[in-house]
Amino acid sequence: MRRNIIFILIIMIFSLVAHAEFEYIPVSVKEIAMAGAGTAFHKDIEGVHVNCAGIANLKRGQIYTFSTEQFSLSELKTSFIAYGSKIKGLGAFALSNIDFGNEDYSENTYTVSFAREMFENSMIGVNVKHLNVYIKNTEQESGTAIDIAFTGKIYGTGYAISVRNANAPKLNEVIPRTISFGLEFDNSKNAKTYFDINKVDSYGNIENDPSIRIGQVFRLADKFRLFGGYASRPYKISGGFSLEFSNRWEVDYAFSSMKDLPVTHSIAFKMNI
Amino acid sequence: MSKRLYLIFFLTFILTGTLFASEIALVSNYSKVAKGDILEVKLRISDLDSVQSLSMDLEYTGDITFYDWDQNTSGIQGKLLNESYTTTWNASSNTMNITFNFNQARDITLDYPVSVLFSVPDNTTSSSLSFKLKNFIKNQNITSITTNTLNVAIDNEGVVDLSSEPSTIYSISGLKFEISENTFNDTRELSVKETDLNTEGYSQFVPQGDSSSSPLNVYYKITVNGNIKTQRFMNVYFPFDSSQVPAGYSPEDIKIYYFNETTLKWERIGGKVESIGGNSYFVKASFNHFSLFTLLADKYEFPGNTIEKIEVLPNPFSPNGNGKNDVVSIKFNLKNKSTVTLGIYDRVGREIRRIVTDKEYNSGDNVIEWDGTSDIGSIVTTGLYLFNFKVKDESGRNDKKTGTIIVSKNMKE
Repeated sequence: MRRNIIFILIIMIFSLVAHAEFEYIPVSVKEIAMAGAGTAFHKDIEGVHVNCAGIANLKRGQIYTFSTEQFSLSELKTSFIAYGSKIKGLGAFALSNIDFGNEDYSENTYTVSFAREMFENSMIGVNVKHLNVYIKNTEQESGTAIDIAFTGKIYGTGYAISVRNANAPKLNEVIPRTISFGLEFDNSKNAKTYFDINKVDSYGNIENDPSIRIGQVFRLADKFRLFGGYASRPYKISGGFSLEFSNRWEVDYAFSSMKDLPVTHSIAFKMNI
Repeated sequence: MSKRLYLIFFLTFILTGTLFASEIALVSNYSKVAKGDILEVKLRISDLDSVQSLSMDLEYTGDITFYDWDQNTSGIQGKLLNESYTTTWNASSNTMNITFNFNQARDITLDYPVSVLFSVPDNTTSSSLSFKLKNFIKNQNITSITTNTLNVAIDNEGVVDLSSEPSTIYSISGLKFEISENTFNDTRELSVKETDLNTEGYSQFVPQGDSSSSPLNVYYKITVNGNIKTQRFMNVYFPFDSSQVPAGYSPEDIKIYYFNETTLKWERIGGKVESIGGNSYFVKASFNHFSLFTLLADKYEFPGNTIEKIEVLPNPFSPNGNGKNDVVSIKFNLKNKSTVTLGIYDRVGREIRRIVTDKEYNSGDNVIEWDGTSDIGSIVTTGLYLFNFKVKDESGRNDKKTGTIIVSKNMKE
């Protein structure tokens, strides 16, 4: 496993090439609240597009819905709905849909996900995504993309590696591969720190140095958690909270603020079935 | 001598002739001119070496008369490299003689150092004009001069046929239009009529002016058949002279207004004033609609938000180098004179291009263009991008506005 991690880190450092279509925009409120430092955090349906291996931890069925307007712009509306469940003796699966954009530019992603435990404390997950992009006055394009993720614990520290659009399919142009490596540190019983390196593997010769992200979670009460985060490229600070009702419902809120652009507000609901 | 040697001599001869030939090209901004308008013919001089004396005739065909701003039809004196040249019109032979006489031999490579203005009569029956330089009398240092024939079409008075031509400048009824390729999807006729409000049936909507504004009482009806909005912004120059500027105002205070047929109000476009010599000025603005326009002198300072009415055309645009929709124009209206910073961002918020930083813009409508390149000069990929304005006016008021631009290199065009 250690050899695998080193191999993927080498890919992250030396990979090049480029894109804007379908570049990943977070659809998990908690990931946004931690400025994107959510790769090693997610262990349920909410993070199926951050770290698809995480759904292997599902104990029961979950439904998750998410909505945001990026930078408070209605043209950048993003919505996400997902359902996931455990299949006894086999692993976990999920179905999800992401809609992004407006009437002149829209992206639609249908995803089938599968994850399972490989051996103790090590899980693998795969997303198979059908992508559609519509641009006004342009032929509609579609393609298939694959995400691969690994997650687990080494020496008591949680880790996750996620490669999105690993096959880099071509729609109007080649869509970007994104590679994320995350770590989870237990500070205390009620506080955890998350560390992420995220790299877009290609961006049309646009600066694409890795983004470093740090997130912090505080459990202030049994059913209430506060989140905060910082990202380096692009610079971003963010925060949010998660509130659970009984063991069935959960409401999340996050904001994300960048230097010059308007603040992004996001909200999500999760239901345990 | 072998055939190969002959060939080398021949090629050397051709190449030498090409290298030493001087060129004076005839150029005009206008490929079409309307009846009653002024046409400017310019000389672009390339590699005219060791010239001390040079005389030539600008011969023209078509029904036109020589024109200059001072109404002096006998000829004008000009300055070239701080020394004089003379133009003399000879109506009987349809020629304009242009003579350079310098104190000493000098090399000249200049764009448009000499220009001659012609007036196209309202009642001309000519459908086109043609210009050519001939009868060169030159000092012995100049071996040969190549030149071209300039052809300009004449359209009806106040009307120009906008057939599918590349980016062009038109002169119609004294107004100047800079119209880019693909501004119209098809062939249109653009017409300009200097008019008055009674004729247009708007006598109850006379701009009255107030303590900070005063009307110039000139009205232009600009129309296009089909009454469409254009795919791109046009730069339109409205002429005025200092005698029209109301007392207490300067030429820089002249602004363009248009009559909004929906709200039945005169709305401010603004504009940038450019001097064109003597007491003459143009006030320039960019828009993509047609209406009734007028000029007002105003010294307004507006409270509140400093930037509004942002429009992006064409959107999507396609920076693929095919000459169509390669550039996007971002038009914005400033309430007051302000410094503007405009950046382009990708969908996740990375700034990929800083177009202007703290650049000063006048109040009214302004246009900034983006050619789809990033800060390192490469064309960005197909996708959705953001633009973000940061504006600060002279009173220190700040404003920000964000919007989207779509890049589609595979657009159907």
